[in-house]
Amino acid sequence: MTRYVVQRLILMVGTLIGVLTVTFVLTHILPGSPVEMMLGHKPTPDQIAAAKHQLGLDLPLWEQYLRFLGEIGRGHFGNSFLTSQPVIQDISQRLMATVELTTLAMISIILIGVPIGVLSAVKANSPIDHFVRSLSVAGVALPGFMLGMLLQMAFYGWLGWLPLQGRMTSTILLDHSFPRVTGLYLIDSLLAHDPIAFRDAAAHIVLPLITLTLANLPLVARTTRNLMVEALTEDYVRTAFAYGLPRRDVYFRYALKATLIPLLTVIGLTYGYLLGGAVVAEYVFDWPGIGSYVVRAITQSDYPAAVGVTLFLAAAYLTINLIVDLLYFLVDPRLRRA
Amino acid sequence: MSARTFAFQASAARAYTLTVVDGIDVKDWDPAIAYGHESYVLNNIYDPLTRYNTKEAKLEPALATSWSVSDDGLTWTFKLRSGVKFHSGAPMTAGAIKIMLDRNIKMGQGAHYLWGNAEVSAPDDSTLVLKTKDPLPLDLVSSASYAAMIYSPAAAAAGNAWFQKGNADGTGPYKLVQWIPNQQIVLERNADYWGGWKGDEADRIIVRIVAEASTQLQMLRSGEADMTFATIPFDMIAGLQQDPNLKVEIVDSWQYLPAPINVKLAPTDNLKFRQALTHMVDYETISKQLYAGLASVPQGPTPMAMPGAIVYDMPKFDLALAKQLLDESGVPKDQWKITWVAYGGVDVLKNIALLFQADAAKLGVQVQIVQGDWGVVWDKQKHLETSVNVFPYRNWPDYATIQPASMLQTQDDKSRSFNLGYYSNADVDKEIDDGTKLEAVDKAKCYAAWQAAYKQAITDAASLYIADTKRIIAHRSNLEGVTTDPAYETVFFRFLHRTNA
Repeated sequence: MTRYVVQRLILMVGTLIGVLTVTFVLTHILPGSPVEMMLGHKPTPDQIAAAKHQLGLDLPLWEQYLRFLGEIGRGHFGNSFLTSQPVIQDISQRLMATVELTTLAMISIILIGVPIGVLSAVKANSPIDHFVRSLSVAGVALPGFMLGMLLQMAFYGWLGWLPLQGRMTSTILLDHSFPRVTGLYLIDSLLAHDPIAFRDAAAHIVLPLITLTLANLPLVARTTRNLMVEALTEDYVRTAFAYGLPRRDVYFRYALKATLIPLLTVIGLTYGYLLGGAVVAEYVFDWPGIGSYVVRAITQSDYPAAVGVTLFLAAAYLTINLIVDLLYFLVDPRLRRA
Repeated sequence: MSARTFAFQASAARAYTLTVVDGIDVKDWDPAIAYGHESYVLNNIYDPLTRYNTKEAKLEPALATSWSVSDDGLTWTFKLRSGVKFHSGAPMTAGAIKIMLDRNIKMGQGAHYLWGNAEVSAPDDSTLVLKTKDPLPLDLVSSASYAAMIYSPAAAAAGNAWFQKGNADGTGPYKLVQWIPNQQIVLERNADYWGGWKGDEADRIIVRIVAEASTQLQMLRSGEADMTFATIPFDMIAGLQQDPNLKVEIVDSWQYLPAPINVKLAPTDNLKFRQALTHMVDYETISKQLYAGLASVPQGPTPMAMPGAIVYDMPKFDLALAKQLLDESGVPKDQWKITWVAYGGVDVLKNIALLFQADAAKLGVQVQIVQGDWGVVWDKQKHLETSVNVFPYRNWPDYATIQPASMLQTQDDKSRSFNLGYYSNADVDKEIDDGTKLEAVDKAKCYAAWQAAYKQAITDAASLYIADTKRIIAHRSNLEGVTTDPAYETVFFRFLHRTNA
């Protein structure tokens, strides 16, 4: 297993260098120069020349590439044109907001999606199954931004029950300065015994969480259903039923266990997608995470930020995949012996 | 839609707080570098030496109470207001301003060039002397939105990294107390503000950063926000105007839309062809329809609100005349093809391009619309081989000046900034130089020289002048004191107050 992990880590480095090369080439073949974006609306020619020199844009391309690899290797992603802050600092400031939202969404997806999938498979072709499948299709078909805006209209505009946007109410953010231990507001406010801040943070996360969950739930629910339908036709399941084992045990201890490897793969992919794909929910709800950051970076040609987030997401995706692969060893004893 | 205010918000609001919503966060907190949208916040934290009053077309005292210039226009002396303190408590003195100006000039960023490498001295605490090699209007430069905000020596010593963490130390009416990137900026009333307080102003101003326009307006409608400083899509304005709880202010701006015509690129290297283009722009439709009435037809090459602006004989929309000029140009009909930029996905610029394309097609002129990000298209335009024929872009001056040098004076490719039509005329160059030498000492003669330069450029059809645009600020009806000046892209927060506060 150790050998396998080392092999995967080496492969990860290779993949990341590939991603680096592609992003470098892409940002350098695009027309125009980033310095005009960096310097504001009326830079003088001297300022432009100085900025080009400072960024190394006056060097030969191969030298720029080596410099780029060196800088990334040292953790220097450059400064964002839009925020003037180091990209790594921007990402770290926003990372936990995304982690809080996506992790809760992932937990919700698993807790709701898997049981729904099992139920749908057990009651295959029944009205319950048809209802779940229709709901899944609707969930996939309804774009995230539309769902988010509908939720805003209903719960903020009409009912006034939940906040419209952001991670916390302005005044609470100002007056309740609880220590940011983890960067996860729900946990930090609990650690600080600040119920007002906790309640406010919880209220703010509800709508983006529902949006993200409903948009990604169908994949997990449908995958679970399809895998379970297949598993329930296996001989060992029929045998278990024949032995008179309780149905719940057969469904969850035998049939579901057999679906875990492909299901883990889907869940891992979904989480990776959520990290990078929370863009729409974050933008609609002004959730100050990586997603809304990358939207601004792309729409306003903030290359260092776009490259930084691309690399970060690639690394996160590869790490999640590695963790999923390692979980296979836990789930399937045959792999441990192989 | 009847929206109820989110319950938790009210319970937490203790101080008298006003909430302003904006779509863009502050990029540069360092006043030596800031050269963009952030000036709307910084202008409430920092003061300049002088302040320009556009309505009365005059300079007013701010941190300087009086100023004078030597006869040769090379030495400016500012007398400073006494007893003013920075937010940190340090005194505002001539020595402090010298440190700040020296830093701005040495850093060479933002709009530092406005000061022309001035040599700064402080003979005593209340006297500031600036000497320049060429005569510069430093009284006007001192009122600029950029590079003229006065900050403390401690802030200057702490440097850019300190500013960029969301710190500030000015003399203005509000202090910066919190910045959470991409979420909110919180300003608190400076009780010791030298301008004084009436008593009904806000204790705190919270600027919420909200990217999505529809979300900004929902916050405004529900009362969660008192005002929006963000750009409101034109198609949403009519809806806002019908809401009795809201008020939409349409205020003058120094922003306008020139479109240099490339005099080095065929077929616009032909004078008659360029003149024809100036009659193919449907100015009225652009202002009334495409800008939804939030722009006016230019009466000159600079907006009328600017000092030194006069009415010129501007070309009118006249397709018959345009056709006649096209025929007279001698350009073969199969070469009646031009390229036109519409950058940055800005809807109104694209719509203007489409309208022009449709009108030009009636005369047999083909218009190819070139799109791209501002940085990209601007960079390309500065190289003749990648340039287009017509390049509309939004423009505004750094301070109260109609100085035409950046747009009309001859520039080589290395120094090219905004002469994006490659225009070059020796007489115009001379008029611009003559005016520039006089701006500090004799504004009337200076403006006369520059007006002559503009007049010649209009005759040469060096540029289209498409629209003079306005700024829109929407706020709750119970918010009063929404005070603006085109010289400053901001709302002065110290005048704001809620009528039921």
